[in-house]
Amino acid sequence: MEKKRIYVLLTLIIIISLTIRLYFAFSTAYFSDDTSYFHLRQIEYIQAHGYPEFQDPLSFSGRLFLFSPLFHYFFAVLTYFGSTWYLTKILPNLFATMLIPVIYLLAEQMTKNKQIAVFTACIAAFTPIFFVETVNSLSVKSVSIPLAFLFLYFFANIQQCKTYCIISMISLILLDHASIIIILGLVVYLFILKINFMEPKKEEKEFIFFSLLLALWFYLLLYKSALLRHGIDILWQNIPQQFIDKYYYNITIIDTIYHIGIVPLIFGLIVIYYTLFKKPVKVQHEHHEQHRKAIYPIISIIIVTTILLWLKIIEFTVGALYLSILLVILSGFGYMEFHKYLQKTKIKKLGNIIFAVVFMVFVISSVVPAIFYSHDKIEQTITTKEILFLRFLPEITPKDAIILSLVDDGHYVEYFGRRRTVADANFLQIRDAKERVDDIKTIFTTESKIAATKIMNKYNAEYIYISPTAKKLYGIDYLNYEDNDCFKLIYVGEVRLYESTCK
Amino acid sequence: MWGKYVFMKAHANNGQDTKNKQKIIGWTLLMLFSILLLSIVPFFRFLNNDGWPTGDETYYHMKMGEDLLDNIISERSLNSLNLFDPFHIVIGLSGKIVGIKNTALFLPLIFGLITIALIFNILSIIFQSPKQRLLAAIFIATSPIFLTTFSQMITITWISLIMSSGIYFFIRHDKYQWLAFIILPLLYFYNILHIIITILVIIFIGHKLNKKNQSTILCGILSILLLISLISKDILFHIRLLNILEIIEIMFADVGGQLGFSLFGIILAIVGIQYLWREKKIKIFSASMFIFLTIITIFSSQVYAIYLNIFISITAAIGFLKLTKREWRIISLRNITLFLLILGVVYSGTAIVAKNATAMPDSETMYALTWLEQKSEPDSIILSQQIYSNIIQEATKRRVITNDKKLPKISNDIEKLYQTRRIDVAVSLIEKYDIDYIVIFEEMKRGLVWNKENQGLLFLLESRENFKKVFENNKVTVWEIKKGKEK
Repeated sequence: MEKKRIYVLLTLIIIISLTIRLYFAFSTAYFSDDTSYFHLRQIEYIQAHGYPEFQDPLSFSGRLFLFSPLFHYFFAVLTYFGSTWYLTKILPNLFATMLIPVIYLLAEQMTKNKQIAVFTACIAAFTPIFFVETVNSLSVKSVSIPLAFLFLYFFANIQQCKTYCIISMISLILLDHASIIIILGLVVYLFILKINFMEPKKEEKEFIFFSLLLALWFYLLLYKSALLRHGIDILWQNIPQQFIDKYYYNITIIDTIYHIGIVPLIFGLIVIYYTLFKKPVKVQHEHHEQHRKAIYPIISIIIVTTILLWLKIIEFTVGALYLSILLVILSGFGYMEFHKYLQKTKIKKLGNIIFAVVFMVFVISSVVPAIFYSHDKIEQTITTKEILFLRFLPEITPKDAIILSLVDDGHYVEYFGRRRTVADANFLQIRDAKERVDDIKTIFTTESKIAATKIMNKYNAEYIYISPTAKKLYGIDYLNYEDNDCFKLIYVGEVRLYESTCK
Repeated sequence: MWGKYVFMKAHANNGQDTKNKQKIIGWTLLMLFSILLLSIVPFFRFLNNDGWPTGDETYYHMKMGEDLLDNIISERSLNSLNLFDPFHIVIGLSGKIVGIKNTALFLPLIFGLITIALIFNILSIIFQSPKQRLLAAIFIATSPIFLTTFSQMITITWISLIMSSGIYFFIRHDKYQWLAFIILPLLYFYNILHIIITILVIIFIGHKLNKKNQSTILCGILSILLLISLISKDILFHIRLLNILEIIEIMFADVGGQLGFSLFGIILAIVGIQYLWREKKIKIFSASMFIFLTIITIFSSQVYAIYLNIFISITAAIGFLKLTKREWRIISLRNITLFLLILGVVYSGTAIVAKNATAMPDSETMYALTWLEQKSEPDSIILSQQIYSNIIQEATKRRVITNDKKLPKISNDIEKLYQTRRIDVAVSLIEKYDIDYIVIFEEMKRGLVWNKENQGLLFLLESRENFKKVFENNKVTVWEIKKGKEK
C-alpha cells in the first residue's frame, strides 16, 4: 500500500475514534467517576492560586493529600484560555486518541510492515478497557498511557532518541506512579536478555538504571510520610479491606476477554509463546534475533503486569490497561507471522478472506463492546438532579458543615457542594480509614438512633446525604431511624438530606 | 647501584607517607562526619524531650543498669527475666557519674564513634586504598541500621562495640592482639548466634592474615563458650516465620523497617556484587557468610542485620566506585545518576535520624508518666500494654503488669481484661493482680489493643464508677481504680 494511503487511513481511524469518543463525552454534562472531580478541583485551585491544594479542608474534614501535581498543572495551563468544562471533556480524549499514531509507530518499528501497523493501531483505538476508562473521565491515564508507549518507541530507538527518551521517562514518573510498571518491566527485560545470552545496548543499561533510581527517589520523597505511616500497605493506598475487592481483584480469562478483546489476546499470547519458548530455525536465526530483541521489552512489561495483577499489588484497571495495549502491539506482530505462515500453505489465496474474518471478529469482540460498555458507563454518570441538589447544598447548610455521605459520593459533595466530608475515595494518609468506612455503613444500615447519633457526633458531622447510589447499594429509600427528633429530613427527592440535631 | 637503592627507598617512603597522610585525613573526615550524624538524635532529645531517650528497650537497660548497682533484684518488674549482662554494669557505672538519662542519650553516641573508628581500621583487610576505606566506612555510618543502633541504648549497640573492638585487636600484630581474647568471650552473655558469627569471622581473618595459631586458640575458647551456652541456656535463639510483605517491611528502612537497609544502598550493593561476580572475586566463604546472615536476619532476628549491613555497605562502596569509573555512553546521565545515588543514600540516613529523634516516648507521654510517679503510692501496680512496660517502669518507678507473651497465664488474663465488657470479670481480674492504675496510650485505642470506640474495657472505663479518669492529654489517659466499689 502506498505511504500516502496509509497515512490517510491512519488519520481516518484517528478521526473516527475521536468522533465516537467526543460523542460519548458530550452525551452527558458530567464525568462518569468521582475521582475526575478531585482532579478538576485541583486544576481549578491551581488556576486560582498557582499551586495545588495539598492541605485540603474538605476531604475527610481536612487532610493532607499526597500526589504528583504535574497532570493538574498541565491541564490548568491547557484549560486556562478556554472553558474548563469543554476542554476537560475534549483534551483527555484527544490525548487518548494520540495512542493510535504511537501504536502505529511502535508496530511499524517492530514488524516493518505499514499495513500491519495500521491494523494494530486500529485495534488499539478500540481496546475496550482503554476506551471505556478514558472516554468520559478526567483521568491521568488518558495522558500517561500514550506517553508510556511513546516512551517505549523512543526506548526502541535509544541511540537516536536519547534526549526524548529521558524527557518522556521523567514526565512519566512525575505524571503517574504506574510508570513503575514500565521501569520494572525494563529491569526484567535485562534479565530476559541475559537468560537468552544477548547483550543489551550500553545505553539501555544506563537508562534503565537511571530510571529506576529516579523513580525510587521521587516516590520515596513524595510518599515518605505515607510510607512511614502505612509501611508496605502503601501498595494498596491504605484502602480499607471493605474496598480492596473493588479495586484489586484476580484476573480471569473471562475478565481478560471482556477488557482486552479476543483478537489481541489470542495473537498476543501466541507471540509470547513463540518468542519465549520456541527456538527459531537456524537459517532465520539472525532475522528472528532482531525481532525477538524488539519484542522483549513488551513481553517483559507484560510479565511484570501479570505478576503484579496476580499478586493484587496493582489496581485491576491499571494492570488491565497496560496489559491490553501491550497485547495489542504483540497481536500486530502475531498477525504478520500468521499471514506469513498462511502464504506457505495451500490456502494462501484465502489470505484476504481470513483477514476479513479476523477483522470481523475484532469488530465484534472489541469495537462493539467498547461502544456498548461506554454507553453503560455514561448511564452510570451522576444525574442532573443530584448535581442540582449538590449545587444547592451551600445555600441550605452552614459553611463549615460536615456531610456524611457514601465514600463514592465524597468527591461529588466536595466539588459541587463545597462542603466537608467524613470520607471520600482517597484513603492515603488516613489513620482511621477502616473505622470511617465501617461507621458510614452503620449510618446507612443501623436501626439504632443512638448508634447513628454517636457516629455523627464522633465526626462532628451534621448532615447525612443519601444519593441514588447509596439507596441502591444498601437497598434503602430512607434512614431506618428517621424521625423529627434527632434526624430531621431537610430535603427529599431523588436524593435525601437529613440533619442530625442530637448531641 | 647505591644511588638507585636510596632513590627507590626514598620513593617508597614517600608513597608510604602519602598513604599515611591520606589515612589520617580519611579518619578525621569520617570522625567529623560521624559525630555530626550520630549527635543529632541525642541532642534533639536532650533539647526537646527533657532528655528522655528513644526506644522501649533503652528504658529496660536503664532500669537494669540502675537496679544492678543499687543491688535491687528488680522488684519493679513483675514480668521480665533478669539475666546478668555486663552492659548493665557499664550503664550503671556511667549512670552513677553522669546520670542515667544522660547515659542513655550519649553512651550510644560514644559507642558509635568508637565502633566506626575501629571499623575504619578493620576495613584495611579488604581495601588497600584509604579513599576506598573511607567510602565504605561512610556507607556504614550513613546506613539506617548503624544510625538506629547507635541512637538507642540497646543490646546490639554494646555487642557491636564488643565485636568491632575484639576484631580490631585481633588483626593487630603487636601485644594488644591478646586483648581480643578477653573482649570477644564477653559475647557469651548474649545469643549464641553472635558467637557463631564471631567464630566464622575469626576463621576468615586468621586465614587472610596468616594468624592461624591465634585464630585456632580464640575459636577454641569461643567454641567452649558456645558449648556451655548450648547446655546452660534455655532459649538459644528465636525463630520467626514471616510472609514476603513482612520481610520487605522489616528489611527496608524506607518502608518502615526499624533495623532495615537503605533501598539505594541495596541497589549499589547489587551493582558491586555483579562486578565482583564478573571479576570472579567472590569467595565461597564470603558468599556462604552472606547467605547465612541473610537467613538468620530474616528467620531469627533483625538485630543480625548489623552484620549483614557491613557486607552490604562494602559491596555498595565497590558498586559506587565501579559506577564512577565506568565509561558512560549517555554522558548526561552519569552525573545525574551518581547524584541520585548519593541523594538516595543520604535520604535513607536522614529519614531514619528524623524518625529516631521524634520516636516514642515524646514529652507529652513522659509528662503523663512523671505525673503518675508523683501522684501514686510507691507500691502501686500499673496496667498497660507490653511495648510500653519498660518506659512506664523507668518513668514512674512503679511495678507494671502487661500482656507479656513470655508469661502466657498473665497475658491471657490481661487480654481477657482488655476485651471484657462485664464489670464482674474486670473487677475480679483487677483484684487478682492488685492493679491500681490503668495507663492507656493513644496507639492502644488505634488498633494496638482496641479497634473500636467503647470496645471491651474502654466501655467499662467510660461507663462505670469503679474507674476515675485522673489524667488525660493527647497521648496518654490514666485511670485510677476505685478500690472497694461493688462488682
